Amino acid sequence: MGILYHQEMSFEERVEAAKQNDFARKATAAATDGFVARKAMVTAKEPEWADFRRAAADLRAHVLDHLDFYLNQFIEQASANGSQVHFGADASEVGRTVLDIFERHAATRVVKSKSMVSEEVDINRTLRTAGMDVTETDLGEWILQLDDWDAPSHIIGPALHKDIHTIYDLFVANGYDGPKDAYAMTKFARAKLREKFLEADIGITGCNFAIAETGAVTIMTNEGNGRMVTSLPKVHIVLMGMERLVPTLSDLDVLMQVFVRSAVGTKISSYLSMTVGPRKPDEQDGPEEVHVIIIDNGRSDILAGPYKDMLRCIRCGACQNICPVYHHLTGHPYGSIYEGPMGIVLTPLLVGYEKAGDLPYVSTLCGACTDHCPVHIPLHELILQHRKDVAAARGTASAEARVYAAAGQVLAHPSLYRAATGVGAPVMQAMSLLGHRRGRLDARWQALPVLGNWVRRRNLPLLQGKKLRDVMRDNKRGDQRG
Amino acid sequence: MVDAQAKARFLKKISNALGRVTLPTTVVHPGCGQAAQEARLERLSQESLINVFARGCAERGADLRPALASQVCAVVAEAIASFGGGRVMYPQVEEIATYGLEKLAAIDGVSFVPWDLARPPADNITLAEAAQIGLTFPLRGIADTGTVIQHSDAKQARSISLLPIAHISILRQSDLRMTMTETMLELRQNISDNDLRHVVHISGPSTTGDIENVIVTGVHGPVHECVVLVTDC
Repeated sequence: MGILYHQEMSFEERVEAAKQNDFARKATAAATDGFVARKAMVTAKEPEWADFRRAAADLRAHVLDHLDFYLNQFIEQASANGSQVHFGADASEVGRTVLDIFERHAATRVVKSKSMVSEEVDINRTLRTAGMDVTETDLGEWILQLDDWDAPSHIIGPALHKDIHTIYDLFVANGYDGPKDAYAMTKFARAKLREKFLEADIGITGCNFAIAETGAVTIMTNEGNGRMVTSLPKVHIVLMGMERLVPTLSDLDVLMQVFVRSAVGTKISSYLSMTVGPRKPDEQDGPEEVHVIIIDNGRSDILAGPYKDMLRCIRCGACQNICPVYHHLTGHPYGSIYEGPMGIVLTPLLVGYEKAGDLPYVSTLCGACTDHCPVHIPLHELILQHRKDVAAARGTASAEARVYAAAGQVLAHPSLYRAATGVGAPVMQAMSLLGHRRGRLDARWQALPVLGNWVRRRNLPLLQGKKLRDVMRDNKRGDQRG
Repeated sequence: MVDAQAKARFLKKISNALGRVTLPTTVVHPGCGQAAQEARLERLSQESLINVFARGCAERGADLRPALASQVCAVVAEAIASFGGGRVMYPQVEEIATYGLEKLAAIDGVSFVPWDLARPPADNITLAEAAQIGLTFPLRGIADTGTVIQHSDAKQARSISLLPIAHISILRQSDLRMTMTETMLELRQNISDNDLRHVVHISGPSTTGDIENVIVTGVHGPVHECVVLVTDC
């Protein structure tokens, strides 16, 4: 898929398309509200929660500050365990490395566990173009695959936007003849995907956290597909974002205290699989080869700059779950595999402002994301920084620059402010009489610089004749007299 | 195995991004989270290990059955019956004899089949895939989260706890810990001492909510998880 999709549509067109899917909005709202509520319930009983969050944030920051050291340690340990370690500077290099492994094994059938970085480097397209039989095994991702590789809409629940009727039709088209019922349909998926697990040549996963001191990689799932993909095929390929690292197993415990709670509101996932290299010669199952591809794809550039904190992200989705904008838009309008607050910070860093410079504006800057991020990424501050950088990169229209310069002068000088608001109220009243709504400035005034962007979508209330401070002053005088 | 030059190039870019020319040889770990870990352990330890484990298992949908060592065979038999009997696959480890589990082979409707190292691996996997129940002996348990920590080695294959419809683990209470903090420290030693290549934390059955957020048990992993906790050893 790559990072961006549906780019043939503008952001506004993607929003309009998403507005037609009433089910997706309700399902997204229900799911995200549920995750948030469950997280609140679990963490309310844990007085250590805030301390674990702080510790997780400090740990992530420490790792980033010493990423070269810890990566080197991980590479040495993983190699000592018998894993083969490769490097992917970009998506192309990752693709070439993966295809090389396939070729060496004459492999054609691959099963995949859900992995955002695998989508980022578009590995499915690379494999399918090369003629490989690719099967996504997370139920939500498989559903998307059946629908002609539809794009995910949430980091944890990629098929949130699909209703059971749509899923049923997809299953029927693939041999299902049971009832339209989640239980029976899941049983069908279990059977179909079990065949794929058992016949696969290669398993590909992402990596939730790699552990430097042991050279191990971990994958967490509730479904068990992560276990299958890492146990049954003879070759296991791990796609690992270079920042997804913890120094020790004890540090993994710290991150585990915040990760699953933040993602779905439970203490732990059903499975946490830890692979410490290929199986030993006397073992009868497990991969004979483990390949870890450590991926940069722009991360080292982010590490060097003012957005470094974004690399703390552990892909839990908590920011999506709490974001009021994501709540109403759902995932697809973002046009990026990374949605919500973390997506509008990360995507422009990976693909540039020319392709994604509008995304930092898909936010109210309410800061709820920052409040909920388990590793204290200052998301809303990074979003604002993006806006400043976008404005600097794109330049500002001269009319807009003049308006803001004038506004700055007025706001900086009390006498000018009093004069402007004194004049402003009757002027706005007069303007509203020309419009279609008395008491408001409406879309008739959209040609005005700055103001036009506001009234294009909503009506602007008028300045009142009396300022609030004057009302309060008069009330106070009245009280004193009375 | 790694290409040394490729590694050097890759890491150099990161070192440069961090404002340095050479790779550091030592780093002082700040020890984040220790106070929170200790506070959590102290809080949970106000209750008994078994009570916390019972609650953890219930939260995760795992069936917990405490048993004295002398009762393990009978309790496992009850669990097998609750899952409908059928083929039970087990590892050829000494605990089978310790708990007298060979007697399970005599139960009507139960086929007690070993993961036989003399058999080709593919045949063992096929048998596990068609088994009703897999029986294993995990390394450790975590009370707080209702978890069993299952390792793999020559005798305990991954497939035994993964492929069958139900999974029964027999865990000694002496191997149960209150929190993941303790088990991670021990796991580090275990991985090193035994050259472990695969460890899975199992906390209840396989689940999904990917069809309209309806929680369904048993997607890819076992549909049922049962823990027999041996309370006197």
